[in-house]
Amino acid sequence: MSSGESVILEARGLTRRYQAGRQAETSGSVRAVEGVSLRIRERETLALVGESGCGKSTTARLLLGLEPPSAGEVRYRGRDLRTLSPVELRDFRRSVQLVFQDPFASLNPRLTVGSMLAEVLAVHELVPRARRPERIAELLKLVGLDADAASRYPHEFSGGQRQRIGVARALAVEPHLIVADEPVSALDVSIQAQVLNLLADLQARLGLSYLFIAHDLAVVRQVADRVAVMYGGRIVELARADELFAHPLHPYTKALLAAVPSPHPPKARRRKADPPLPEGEVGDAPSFGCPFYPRCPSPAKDGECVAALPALEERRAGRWVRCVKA
Amino acid sequence: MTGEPLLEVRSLRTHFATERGEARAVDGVSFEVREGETLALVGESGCGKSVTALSILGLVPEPPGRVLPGSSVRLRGEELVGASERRLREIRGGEIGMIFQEPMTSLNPVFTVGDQVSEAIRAHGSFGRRSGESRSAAIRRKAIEWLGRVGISEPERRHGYYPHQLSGGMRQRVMIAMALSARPALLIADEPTTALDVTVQAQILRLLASLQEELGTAILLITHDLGVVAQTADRVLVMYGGQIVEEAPVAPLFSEPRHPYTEGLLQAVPELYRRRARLAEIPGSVPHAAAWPEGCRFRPRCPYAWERCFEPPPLVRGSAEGPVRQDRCWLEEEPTRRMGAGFGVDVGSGAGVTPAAGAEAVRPGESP
Repeated sequence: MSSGESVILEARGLTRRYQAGRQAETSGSVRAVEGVSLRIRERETLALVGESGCGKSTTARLLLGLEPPSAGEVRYRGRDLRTLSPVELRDFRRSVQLVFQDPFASLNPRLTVGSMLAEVLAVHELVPRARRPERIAELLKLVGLDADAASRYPHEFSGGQRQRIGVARALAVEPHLIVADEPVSALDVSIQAQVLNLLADLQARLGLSYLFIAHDLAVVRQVADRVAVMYGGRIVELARADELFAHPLHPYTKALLAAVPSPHPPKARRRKADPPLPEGEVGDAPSFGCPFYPRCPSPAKDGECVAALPALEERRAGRWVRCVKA
Repeated sequence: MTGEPLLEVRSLRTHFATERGEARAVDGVSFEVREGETLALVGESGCGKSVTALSILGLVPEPPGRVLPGSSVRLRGEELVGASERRLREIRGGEIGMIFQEPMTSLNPVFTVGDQVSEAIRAHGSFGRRSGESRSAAIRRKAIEWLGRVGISEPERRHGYYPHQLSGGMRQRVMIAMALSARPALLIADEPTTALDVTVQAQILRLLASLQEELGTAILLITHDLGVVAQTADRVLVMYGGQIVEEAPVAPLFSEPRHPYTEGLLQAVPELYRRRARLAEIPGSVPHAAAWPEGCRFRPRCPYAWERCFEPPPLVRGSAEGPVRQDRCWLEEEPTRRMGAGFGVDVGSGAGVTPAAGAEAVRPGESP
């Protein structure tokens, strides 16, 4: 929840530019992430949502220090990553862990789960060698796997169990923040529920923070305390989850929510009453003005949207939106 | 909406030889698709829904697969199981159109999308040549017309594009143009929007709905997404373990699921306008098709299971009245066993996070 005021990780004006693509439909989109600022506090789940190409995964990579920003900075517990000493950097790399979408691709097929976890414990010198088997059993229990999982190889597990292994590996180093990049989007719905419940239980037990990157808004509704919506490399709305879902302000957020098919069948086929959808696709973001303008179903009439990029403004405490009309 | 059976599938069994033994991927499936309706086939990976589609189309790779004797697939009365490859080629892309999850793998990368739509029209479609117009000019005109019809802007220019020059949503539109230009009676759509972003998914679903209304095409929609089912289907078949476990019209399936698997799936799905205290978990995972559990195949994951479930339950019709509802569960005979059991989850709202206006009242776009 937002009560924990202590900020673990902060982005200030994060920007990342790449060379222009050559594909006919995407040429000119050189700014992967532009001016992203956000804070992840103790014990909270901040979700980063948006469609493909919106910059959410690049933002995560920048926050993890996996690539350098073109501009802006990442601050870990108040300190710019670039100013950390080797010892502090090591603490950062332990304290902030990553969980991937495809757990199988991120697990070494030739190591048993036990040896993989032992290796992590050894690298970070967290547990004396003699105590490692005990710690491994404890970690496996924590993520809901049997102790005998330690002697098995990744291919012997189902997708959901592999994701539990991925979580166990992240937890092995006692992190404070887990960056989870689409952690359930490759899983079937019944297994997805198992993993989401596990993440919630671990947060309650261990006081973890999550940066939860997802495109599935219903999943985000279930896990997030706060939500940042990204479009065209920028945050267009940031708010507490309950406020954002009940009263979205940005037209893109509204469109995104309206596009999610509800698991409640309509009483009658009422296709005419469908809410307006944005036209086109994400690749069409312009290089000036509001990034969503070309697809916006309700732009301002006086051309204000194209004249300049709207600022991300705080309308109420913790309620940010980047739109001249909202 | 509903009419005569267009497609009748009876006792379909499709098995595969695997390292772990004979995989009974589809194991006794019967259903029908009526003219003009949307029938959804839902279930998780490994339940047999895609193999059902491939079996209908005569596309099961043999070996390792085989459609067992006794299986029947009839299109307007014509038996397709055992039909000649030549006749099946006519039907595929003719009377039965197909679209798949990843259009990039179904489109040929070395031909322009215009050429590929033209080819579909040449092979199966009608192109009503105008006087003085050459055959190829008529086909080209028709192809451009179809590209426009599926919502591709500047169709004359995009006619000359190669698949890689288009976005995923555009490619799926091209696939839809290719499939529907032949005016099929049935469109089999296997996870047609799964790889797409949510706003693009909504565009494609609306496009399919409006073309269906206009052309009267029946759609067999294969999906794992219960939201997509709720918004597009008339009737639903739920598959588990290579069998149909429940069949119902869409509204009652969602409001009163009968089979425990359906019930579990519905409770496991997170919802946009209601944060659940906890999601239902269906314990375990789908077993391998070579090792279905004895008796009811859902038994090891079912919270209601008792001794009787070691006997395979039949698919039974709920009542003689009204639209067909069937499910494959012994609870039909002993409904009191539902009491006090279940997936053990509070399905109500989470603590203080549901908007006061109530779940359905706050559709976006209507809020202040």
